[in-house]
Amino acid sequence: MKAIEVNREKCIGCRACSTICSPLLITLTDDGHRRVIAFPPSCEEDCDRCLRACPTRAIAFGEKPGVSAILEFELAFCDRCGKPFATKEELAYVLSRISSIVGEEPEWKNLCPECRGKESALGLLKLL
Amino acid sequence: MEVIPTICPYCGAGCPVGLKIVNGKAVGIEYLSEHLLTHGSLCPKGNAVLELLYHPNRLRTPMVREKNGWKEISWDKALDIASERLLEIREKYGADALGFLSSAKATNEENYLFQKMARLLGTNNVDHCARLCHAPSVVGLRKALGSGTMTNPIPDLVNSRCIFILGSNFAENHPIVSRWVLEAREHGAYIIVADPRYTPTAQLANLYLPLRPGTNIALLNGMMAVILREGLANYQFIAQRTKGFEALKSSLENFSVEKAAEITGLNPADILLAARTYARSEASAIVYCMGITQHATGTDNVLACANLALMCGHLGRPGTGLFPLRGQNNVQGASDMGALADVLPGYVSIEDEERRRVLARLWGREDLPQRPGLTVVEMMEAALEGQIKAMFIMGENPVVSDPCAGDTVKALEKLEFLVVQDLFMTETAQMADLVLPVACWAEKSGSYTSTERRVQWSEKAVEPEGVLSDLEIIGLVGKKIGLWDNVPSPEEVLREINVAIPAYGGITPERLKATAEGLFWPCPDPSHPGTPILYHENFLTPDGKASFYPVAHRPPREEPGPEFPFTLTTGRVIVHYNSGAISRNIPSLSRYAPELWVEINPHDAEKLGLTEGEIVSVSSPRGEVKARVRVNERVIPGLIFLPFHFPGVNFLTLKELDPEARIPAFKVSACRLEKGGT
Amino acid sequence: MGYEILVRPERCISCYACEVACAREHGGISNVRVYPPGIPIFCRQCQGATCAEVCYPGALERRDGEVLLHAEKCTGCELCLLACPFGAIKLEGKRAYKCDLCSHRREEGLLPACVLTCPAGAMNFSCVADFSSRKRKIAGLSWAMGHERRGK
Repeated sequence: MKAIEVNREKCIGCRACSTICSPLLITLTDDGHRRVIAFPPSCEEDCDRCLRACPTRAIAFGEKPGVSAILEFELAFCDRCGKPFATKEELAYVLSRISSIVGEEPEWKNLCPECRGKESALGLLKLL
Repeated sequence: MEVIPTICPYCGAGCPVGLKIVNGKAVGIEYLSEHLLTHGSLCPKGNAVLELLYHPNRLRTPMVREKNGWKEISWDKALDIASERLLEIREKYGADALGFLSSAKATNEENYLFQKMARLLGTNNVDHCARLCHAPSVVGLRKALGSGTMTNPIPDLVNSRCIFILGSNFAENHPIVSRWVLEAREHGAYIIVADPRYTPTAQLANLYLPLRPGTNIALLNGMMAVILREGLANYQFIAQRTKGFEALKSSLENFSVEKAAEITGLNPADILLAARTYARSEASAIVYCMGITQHATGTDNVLACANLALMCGHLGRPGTGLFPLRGQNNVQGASDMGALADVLPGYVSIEDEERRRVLARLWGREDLPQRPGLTVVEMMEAALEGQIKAMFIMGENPVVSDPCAGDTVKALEKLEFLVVQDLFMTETAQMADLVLPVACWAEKSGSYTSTERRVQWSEKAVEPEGVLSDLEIIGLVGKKIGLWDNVPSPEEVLREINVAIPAYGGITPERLKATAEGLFWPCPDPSHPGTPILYHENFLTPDGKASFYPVAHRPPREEPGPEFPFTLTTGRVIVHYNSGAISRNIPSLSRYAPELWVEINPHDAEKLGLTEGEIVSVSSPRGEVKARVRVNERVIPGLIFLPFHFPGVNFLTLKELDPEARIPAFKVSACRLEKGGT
Repeated sequence: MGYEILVRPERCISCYACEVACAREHGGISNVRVYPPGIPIFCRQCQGATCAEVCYPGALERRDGEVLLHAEKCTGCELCLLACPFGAIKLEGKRAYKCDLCSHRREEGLLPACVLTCPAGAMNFSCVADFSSRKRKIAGLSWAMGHERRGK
C-alpha cells in the first residue's frame, strides 16, 4: 500500500493519470466551467503507472497514510465556438513547450482542436 | 484471402467494389484501381457496403402475417402461399387484377424472369421505379434519337470543352462523375450548372444559373433562340442527320432571351453566355437528372435538351452527348429487360404484334397479353379503386418513394394479397401478407447494366444465410405455378436474354466474366466489341435520323398561393440512398444525417421567425411532415428543400403525371411551414 | 520517402468517402475530417512536429518523413491535441488517434484508403515537388483560358 501525494503547483490538469489508472481510482470531471481531478488517499495496487505517466512529475508515492486530494482547474474557452477545451494550465504548458517551433503567439492558440480544423480549412481555401 | 470483384449495389454509376474474403466471410474492401471508370474509387456508400451485407436487421426467414403479428414459416410453405394466392386471384378476377413491381436493384436476369412471369401469367401490369425517375428519358430520347439512353461513357466527359449540367447533383448522387468533370475543367472545359439550389455540384461551376423550379424549357428555348439568332447552329449536322428543324425554328421565332430571363428569373447576360459557350465549343455535353425529368413536363424537358444537342451537332463524337444519369444500380437493366408496363424486353412495343409473337414463341406460347399495362402510380390508383387485388413487390419501397404516398398506404391496405420480397422490414414490407427475405448483391451472381449502358458481371462473394436470391424465388414461384419446369441459373437466363434482346446479343456470360470493364450495349453478337459512344454515324431511329420536337414552357401544375406560399422541392444527399431503407440502417452513413431537415433561405426564415434547429411542420395540400430547420443560402428565396430519404416527405409531393412518360411531378409543389410540433 | 497525402481542395465535393473509408480501416475511428466548404483535414506529418515535442511518454516520434504514433506508449494525456495547429489529433477512449498514412496498407504495398477512395481525385499520395508542379500546370492553363467563376 502506498500513499498518493499530488503537487498542485506542478499539476496541469491533463488526462494522463486518470486515463492510465486501470482500477479507475483517479477521476476526472469537466462540468463546463472547471475540471476536477480527484485522487484517492492511497492505493493498494502494485503499480506506478500514474507516477510515470505524469508529464510534470506532480505525483509522488509516500509511506504515511495520505489524504484524498481534489484538484480544481479553470477551463480555457475557445475564442470561436465558446466551448471549453482544456485547462488553462495545460494549454499554457503546451504553448510554452512548442514556442520554439511556432512562436509565442500562434494565431490558433485559443481555439479548440475542432475550430483549428475549421480555420485550417478556410485558410487553405484562401490560397486557392 | 481472395478479393472478389462485385458491382456496388447502390447507384447507377456501376462502380466496382472488391470484397476481401477470408474463410467465407467478407472482412474488408479493396479498391479495384484498374477499372477505367473509377480507378478504384468509391463514394461513402460504397465504402460502407459491409455494413449492409452483415446488417443485424436483415430479414432471414419468410414470414406470414397473422392476427397478432408475424409468423415465421418455411420456404416451401411461403412459396406455396405465394403461388396459390396469385393463381386464386387470377382465377377469380382475371390476370389484370395482378400487379407486379420489379426492382431496379435486382440483376438483369432477375428482372427478365420477373417480367416473364407477369406476362406468362397474363398481364402487362409490370413496372418499376424508372417510372418515377427517368421514364421521360426513356420515352423522350427514344422519340428524338431512337434510344432512351446515355450516349457517351462517363470518362468521355474529359474530352468535353463545355459541360452543361441541368438538374443534376452528381457531386452527391453520382460522385464519380465529378472526377471526370473536374478533369475536363482542368483541361480548360467550361462548366455550367443550372439548379434552383446551390448544391455541391453547383460549387464546381464556372457559371451557376439559379433558375426558378419548373422553368427548364424556358432556359433551353432561350438558349436555342440565341443560337439561331447569332448563326451558331451546326447547319451541316442539321441537314445531314436530322428532321423537323423548320418546325423547331418557327416555334422559337417569338421567343427571346428576355422572355427566357423573365420566366426563369435569370440574368439575360448569363443565358447568352451559356448559349454561346455551349454552341461554340468544339465538343459540348449535357448532363441531366431529376431536375429535368421529375416534372409534369418531364418528357418535354428531355426533348428540349435533345433539341439543343441536335441543333449544335453535339452528339456522336467524343466529348459530346446527352447524359441522363440513371439512379439505381440496375435501373437501366430493368428497363432494358422490359420490366415496364408499355414495352417488352428490348423496348419492343407491346402493340408491335409481329415482334410480340416472336417473343411469345421464344417463351413457348402463341401470343402474350396485348394491352399495355398499368404503370407504378396507376397500379396504386387501380388498387385503391379495387381493380388490382394482389401485388407482388420486389425490392421496392413505394410507401416511402411514391408521390402522394398517403394514397399508396390506402391502396396497399385494400389489396387482398400483398407479397413483398426485400432485404429489410421496410415501411412497405410492414404492410404485406407475406414477406420473403432476399440475398443481397454479394450473395448472388448476375449482370447489372449501369447508366453508361455498361453491362458488368458481379460475382457471388459469400454464401447467403437463410435467404434466397430474387432469381431463385421467382424461379420457384414460377415453377410452382407451372410457368416453367426448372429454376434457371443466372447464366442460363442471360443466355436467353442474348436471344430475346438483339442489343444484348453478344453479351454472353463468358465474355462478361472475362472482361473487368464490362461491355457497352448495343453489342449484337459475340465478336462485337460493344458501343461506348452512340450515334457516330446513324441514330437508332428507323431511318437513322434524329428528330426535333418543338416544346413550349408550361407553368408547374401546382404553384404557390396564399395558403401554401412556398415552392417545395425534394432531392437527395450523399450519405443516404433513395427511400433510406438501406442507408438509414447503416450507422457509418446515417450518423451524418440521422433525421429529416428542411432548408430555408435566411430571408424567408426571418419573415417566418424561424431559427436554426427548431422543429417545424412542413405541409402541402396532401400531407404534413415534421423537420428540423436549416437556414442557408443554398435555396433561392421562396424555395423550400426536403431530402426525401425519410418516410413522410413524399406524403407532400404531387401525383400529377407527365402525360407521355407518366412520371409524377415530384420536383415542384406548394407548401407552407408552421412553427412548433414536437 | 517524402511521400505524403496532399489535398487538392478545389476537387473536394464533401462526400465524406475519405472519412467513412478511414474509419473502416481504423476500427471505427476516422483520422480525417472534412470541414466546410469541403476541405479534408488530417495530420500533416510536420517536420517541426509540435505534437511530438510535447509527448512526454515518447509515443509520437518523427521518423523517415512521417510522425509515428506508437499507441502502446500513449497515456491519453491530450497534450498532443492541444499542440496540433490543425486539430488533426483526436482522443478516443484511452488514447490519441491521428493519420498514420494507412501503415497497415502500405506494409502490403497498397496506397492509403482515402487516396484510393476519393471519387473526385482530391487526395493524392505524392511528394511535394511532383504535386506542386502539377498544380502550377493546371493553374497556368486556367489563367490562360481566362476562366472566372460567376454566379455565386
